[in-house]
Amino acid sequence: MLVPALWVALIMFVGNFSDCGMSDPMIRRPLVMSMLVGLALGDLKTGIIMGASLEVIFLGISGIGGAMPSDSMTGSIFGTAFAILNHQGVAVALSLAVPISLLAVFVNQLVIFIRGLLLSTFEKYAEEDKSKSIERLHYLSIFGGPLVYALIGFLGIYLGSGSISALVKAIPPVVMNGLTVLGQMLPALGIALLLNMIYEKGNMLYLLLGFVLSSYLKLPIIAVALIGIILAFILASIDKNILEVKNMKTPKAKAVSEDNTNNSLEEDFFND
Amino acid sequence: MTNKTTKTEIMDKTTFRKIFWRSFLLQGTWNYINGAGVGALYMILPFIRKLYPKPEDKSARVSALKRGLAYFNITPALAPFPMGIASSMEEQNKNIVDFDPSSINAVKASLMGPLSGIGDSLFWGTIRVIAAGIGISLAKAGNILGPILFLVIYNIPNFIARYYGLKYGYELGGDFIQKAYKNGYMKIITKAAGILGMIMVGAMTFSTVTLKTILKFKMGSMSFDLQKILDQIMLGIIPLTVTLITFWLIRKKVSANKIIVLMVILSFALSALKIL
Repeated sequence: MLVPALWVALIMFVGNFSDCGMSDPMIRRPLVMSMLVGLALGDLKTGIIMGASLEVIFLGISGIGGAMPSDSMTGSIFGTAFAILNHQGVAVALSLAVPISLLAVFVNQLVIFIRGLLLSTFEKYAEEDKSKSIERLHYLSIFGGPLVYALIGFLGIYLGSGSISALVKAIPPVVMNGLTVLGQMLPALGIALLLNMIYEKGNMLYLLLGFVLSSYLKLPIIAVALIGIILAFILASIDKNILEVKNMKTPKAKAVSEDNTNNSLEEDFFND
Repeated sequence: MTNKTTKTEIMDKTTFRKIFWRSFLLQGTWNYINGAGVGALYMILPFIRKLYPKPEDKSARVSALKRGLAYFNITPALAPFPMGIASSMEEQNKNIVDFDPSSINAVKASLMGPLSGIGDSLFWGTIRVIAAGIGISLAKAGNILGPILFLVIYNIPNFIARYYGLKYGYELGGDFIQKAYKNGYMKIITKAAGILGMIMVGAMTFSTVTLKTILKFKMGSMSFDLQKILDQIMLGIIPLTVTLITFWLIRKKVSANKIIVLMVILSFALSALKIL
């Protein structure tokens, strides 16, 4: 099992790397991952066919009746690997992949959390004008996640589904739930930091407006943006009129902006 | 007010190409706190370096670096467009004396939401499904062209959107802002961008901070579902309150690290107590 375990580790690495180091060009989808597993384990054709059926399953086009792995990448890699190594059908192979993909989801949460902890270091580097160090830490973080995935890939094949299942059961639910809640709470910090950068006295009300449009009215984000653009535009035209009146009152300023007076804001906006 | 810039000087071919390739590493440090903020800064780092090459520009460079780290979350394929605009705004910020740098992040914040809405449905909902459809039909028969065509069909638009997004983002940002400055409208536009940014951040607060209480208690024969009661007071009161308290802590100069520690303790404690 050592050689297949190493191959699967490599494929897990590539799949996760394609997500964080290549901005997800769909390499981690079942179609591609299963093909690679088939290629590595010596049964390319089965891999490709498995990829097609798994892609259909994970796109949500068809169900499979039974437990579904929570992570399409890990699920399809292990589903295909078990199907080829143990000569099992899709459904059985996929159900064996369930505990491993649970472990992957859990570990991925940890990785994302650790990346969040790196932020203070990034900020320190920015403060100290060390842009080279920013790049280096970013590279490190790009490779960190895939390496952990590779380890799961190796252990999953080497130890087998049963031992991984026992391992997943050993993770206390308090830790799992805590991490989930943390994942829901931490974005508040990011939003608040962003808010701190664009906040100006008197525009807190607009935050509430956006919030209400999204919560009570359940508007999709594009609708909120359109309303926001219209509102910002109305307010800007009012300000523009005030500015022009002011310019009329002060002849000096008028002289400066003379050549632009017939250039309305609207025209400029649409001309660009 | 000096606003004469020659665009090609700073965004030359090499820098453009660097930013384009770096855009693929956007998600590398993705986390719950600032999304792909680190990747966004990483993307335009070559541009910032060219903008402030001298050691004596340190303070301007440092504030550009800090700005670059702000929360950023978007469909990756469309990221180059707002980052192109952000780069040209950074350039204007250097060249125009009374430029308001906070408008850079306001513009990024107001673009990322709607662009993600468009990008997700275009790239995930449409192009991916078409590519997968073609890929699956070939792969079913064991044809290796299935996975290959799947990748090719998805990635051609992916590359095109990145290249032209960066190009037009940078050009649009530059032209628009220069004109606005000539006309004296920049203050108005900055204010409008700030308003739009706040509205979008408000909407994002509801969609990204998804905290809910699971606390239910019984009083005699009556059972209470706390989340339902809170929803009746104000929908999404927990995300809004948590975000505003965090914002208030930041204004009080509490460090982000302390806030993270606080959030870790709260998350684990409240979920262990079955409150969250």
